[in-house]
Amino acid sequence: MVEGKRKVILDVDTGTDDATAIILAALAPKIELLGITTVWGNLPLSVTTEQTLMITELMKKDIPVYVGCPGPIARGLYPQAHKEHRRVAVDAKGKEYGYHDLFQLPRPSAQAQRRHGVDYIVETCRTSREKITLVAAGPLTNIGMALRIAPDIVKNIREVVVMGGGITQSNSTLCAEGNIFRDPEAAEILLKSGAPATFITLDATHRAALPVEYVDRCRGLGNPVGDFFAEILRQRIRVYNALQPLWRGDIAPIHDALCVAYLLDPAVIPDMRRVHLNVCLDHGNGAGAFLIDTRYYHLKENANVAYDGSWERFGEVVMDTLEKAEGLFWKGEEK
Amino acid sequence: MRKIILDVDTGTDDAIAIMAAVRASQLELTALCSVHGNAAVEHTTKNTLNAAYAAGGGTIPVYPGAADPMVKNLIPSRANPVEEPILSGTTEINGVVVSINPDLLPLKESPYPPQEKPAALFYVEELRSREEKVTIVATGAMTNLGLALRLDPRITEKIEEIVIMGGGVQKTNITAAAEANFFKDPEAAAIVLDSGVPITICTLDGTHSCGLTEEHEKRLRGVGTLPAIFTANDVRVRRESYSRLQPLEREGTAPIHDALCIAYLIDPAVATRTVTAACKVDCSDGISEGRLQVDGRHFREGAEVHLILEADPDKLCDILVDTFLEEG
Repeated sequence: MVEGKRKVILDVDTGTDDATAIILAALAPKIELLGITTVWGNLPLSVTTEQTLMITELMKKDIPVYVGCPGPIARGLYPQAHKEHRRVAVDAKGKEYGYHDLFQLPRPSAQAQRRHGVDYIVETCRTSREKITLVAAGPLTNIGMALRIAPDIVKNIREVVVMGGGITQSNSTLCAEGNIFRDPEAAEILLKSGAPATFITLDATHRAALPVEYVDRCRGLGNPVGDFFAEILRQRIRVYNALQPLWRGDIAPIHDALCVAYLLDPAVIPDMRRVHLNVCLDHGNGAGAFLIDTRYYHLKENANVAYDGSWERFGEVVMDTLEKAEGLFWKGEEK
Repeated sequence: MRKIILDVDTGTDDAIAIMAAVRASQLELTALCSVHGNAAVEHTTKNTLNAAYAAGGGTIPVYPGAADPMVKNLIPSRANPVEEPILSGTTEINGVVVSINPDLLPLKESPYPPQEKPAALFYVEELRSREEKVTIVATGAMTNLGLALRLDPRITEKIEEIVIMGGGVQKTNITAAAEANFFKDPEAAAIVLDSGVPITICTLDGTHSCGLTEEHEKRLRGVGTLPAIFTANDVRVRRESYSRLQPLEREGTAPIHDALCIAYLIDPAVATRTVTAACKVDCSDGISEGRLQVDGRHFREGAEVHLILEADPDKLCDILVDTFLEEG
């Protein structure tokens, strides 16, 4: 046990921005990354697991990876359910690509653990002497399942930090963000569980989108992790410019990394509000949307919701943390 | 010997099913899982331990299951409590106290504790690692199985058959459209039916058709062993409460629903009318919630499921008498 560090389990659907979250969590001295659980989401579970293993190998760190759930808790049972809007860009050669098709790393030699990811979450939360922080960067299926199967773990959860939802911003549908939209029941289980929940929304991640200068700054670190980070940011800026231009040009959000940065420096979220939050569970246009009780006589607060993000602070946290990677490699090592 | 896992919300009729599964020489009961339903899961877990212990199966592991349905309770209009005048708890009707499924059964306390591992995680670990297939018998809400199948759909490769007490074609109980086990977790029932595993359902039509009589009660009491007397007592209570609240077509009879699943595994001849039909479960937020939908059309949309629609009460009694004959 390392004193003074936050004990973290990272739940990911890697995913380029999940990859950056893993990198920050693995490097940050304030975090003890106990393990990683994978979940379906951006891509099928087999792909998110393999790409997660690619990143742990790139980091040259022995972080156990546990395979979680291959699909949502209940969605799929409702024939009338609203469908997700997914766009792809097309490159000069006519090849289609999206935000998460950008991995160019060697196939991993390591394997995932045998134990199921949800089993790992339950067991770790039950047996840890210190409370556990869960960082969820994909659909909340694993977290929702763990809370449904073993509600007692709530008392040993310090916080669940979720990348998901939006107040004015959305992506999968006109009013829902992808991680919440893909398994809204899982999100609602978390919100009703009593576990401390913090949502790093699209409103925060879009405002904290990093500008193109950071591509060169990351590459300038001269280590493979910085290079990988730079490449992800470069490609994401290209896709965002093409598909989803934000409040200014040549920037890209790396959503999931902002969750980890928030653990390292809460100032990356300059406007965090305590609210009563529900997720819309119907099957119409509102499926997966955030419902925040803004009335004066609102229901009891159950979540922290990020209303804004600071790209300046976020950029500093990223650079500070990536510098820690230098010890892992010597200059000029082959990638 | 057929290996089985029993998933129960014990409940008196679950208790009879457990005792029969422990005693039956044709079956090897390898584990028990508890679930919310007839009572809160803390109580059904305790009742499960005590019922297994009473039949001489105290060392069979009991895995505590889900306290709540998978998602149903998240939706306020679906989570509303439903009046269950006779199905669980204790109710006084016309000055008579009726209690088919009390929170805690009148059984001796088992000295064995439940397992630490939650039922859904047990299913995944157990089914991933075992060599041969196992039959699962579910006599409560199917939450544990629904969760396990969503955790890892490939566990179906190790399941020989799932035998369910639940649903009704012509008969229902908890609402005009639904039987209680399906109604309490429709999503879980839908996931189980769609899983691709061979499914047999002891429907409410089947269990109501083989209600036991006063004669049956006497025969069971005459056996004299603890499980037989427990069953005879339950038949007496049920005959009384069913006559008052929910009279069946054959006067003075009472169904002991869950026991029919085990009797069917011991001797399938107990089922006298069965059909294979395409079935779905209604997961909507409306008056049909939890309904077992049988597709009567030529198209047959839904999973092909084996439905038991009628069973022979004398045969059921014969099987229970034979099974409970020897003291544990």
